[in-house]
Amino acid sequence: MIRPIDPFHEDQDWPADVPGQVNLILVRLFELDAATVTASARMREDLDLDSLDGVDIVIALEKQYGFIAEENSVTKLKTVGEIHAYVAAKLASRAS
Amino acid sequence: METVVVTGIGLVSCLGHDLEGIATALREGRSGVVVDPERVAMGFHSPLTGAIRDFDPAALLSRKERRAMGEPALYAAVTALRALADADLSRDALARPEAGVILGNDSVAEATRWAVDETRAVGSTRTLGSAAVVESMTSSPSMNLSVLLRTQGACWSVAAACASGAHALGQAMALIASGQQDVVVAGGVQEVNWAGMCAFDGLGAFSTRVQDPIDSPRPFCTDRDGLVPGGGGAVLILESLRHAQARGARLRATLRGYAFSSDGDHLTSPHGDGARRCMRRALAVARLTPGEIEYVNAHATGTPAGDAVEAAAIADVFGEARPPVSSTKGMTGHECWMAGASEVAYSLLMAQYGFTAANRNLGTPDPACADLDLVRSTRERGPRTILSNSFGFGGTNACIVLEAHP
Repeated sequence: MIRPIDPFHEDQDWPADVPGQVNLILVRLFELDAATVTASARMREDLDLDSLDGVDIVIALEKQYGFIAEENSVTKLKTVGEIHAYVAAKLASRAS
Repeated sequence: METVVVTGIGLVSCLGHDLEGIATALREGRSGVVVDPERVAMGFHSPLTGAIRDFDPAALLSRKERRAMGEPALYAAVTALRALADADLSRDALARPEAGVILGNDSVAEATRWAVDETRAVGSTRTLGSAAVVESMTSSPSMNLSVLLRTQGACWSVAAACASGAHALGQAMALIASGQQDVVVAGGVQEVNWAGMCAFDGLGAFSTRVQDPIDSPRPFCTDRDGLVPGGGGAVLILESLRHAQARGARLRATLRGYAFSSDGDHLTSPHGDGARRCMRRALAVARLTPGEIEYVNAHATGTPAGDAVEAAAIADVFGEARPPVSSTKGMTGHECWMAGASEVAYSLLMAQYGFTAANRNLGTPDPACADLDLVRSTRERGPRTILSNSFGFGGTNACIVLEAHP
């Protein structure tokens, strides 16, 4: 019943910056308190996300940004800030 | 052999969510049947269905608990938690090898439809996500529930068409009676969506009396024209009497007998002999005579053939005893995979609240049912001994005999 690929509502404000967008994706996907989704937040210890959730994070990012994530790279990401950096790097490499 | 008792009931029904409210609906003969606009748009022969209203699983289940639950598993989880509360049994008490989960379920059509549509649309399986595999398995309700409750014993779903829920209760009863389990969370679930019912609709089995949806289905009525699908969840807490007494539990009922049979005849048309054998066997297991049964909750769905065949079988088995007979499907529609469990629950609510529910929409009884004491209006007497019938496609039959402790 929880469809991870469509976490957004059309009527909501979409942040202009990538970190804000990633945070919103996490909040929507996992019903998190937005205040807990900070760059230093650890995925497992602080946000209680596990490997199955990791699968859905990858799908959501790929759907949102149109890139293909490398599974080995994504599974190594431990904090929200590392996801910010990963997405920014993927977008930058695509732009170049 | 251990005596098996019912100590808790949980329901998600088109008649409501709380037991007292559902009992009131049964007593007053209310219908939960509506016209589903989505089925109209999809070109169904019949858009009629029982409708689940105000269902909010997030009120009871965390995101993580819900993440791999499709509609049937959500019904299972919510009804199980309600049943445990009714039984005053803690979830923590189930984290043992002697505690299990057995649920009747025979489809996960909406989850499967979504996964197939998504794969076709994307041209890849890459976007299906982590939950699709679990949601798309028929055993999704039982596997999710076992993880939720941390049970360490039985964990499987019984797929037996419209007798699934009754067979699940029966199998749970057998495991407890034999001492292999001492508590089993058992019941049935039925998804309520167009994908789950489109093939059934294509068979022409549904009532098309759509002018006023609450006028259908019409079990045992001369002008019945087919069943109306419904669904939701029904879970009972079954325990050994020894286990229930040790914790001072309230006893709702004793499961006196369960029997199964197959027609071995036709995929979709009931024969009748299988039903007769099943009812007689259940009475024998329960060590009760036909004259000692105070209420028969019939399977009767409102199909022309099925109701007449069942009526003849009941008449043969009970003869002069003529216990009151009603089908609650006139109010709920046919709850299919869940019906065998929900109708046991409905019957126990009748016992608890002191009434026998009527056959809603029974205008002129079919002459083929003349030998039955069909309940025409609510009787202000609750049954103590109950036979509940469930019959399914493929000719699978299940009968359960209960002794209620109101």
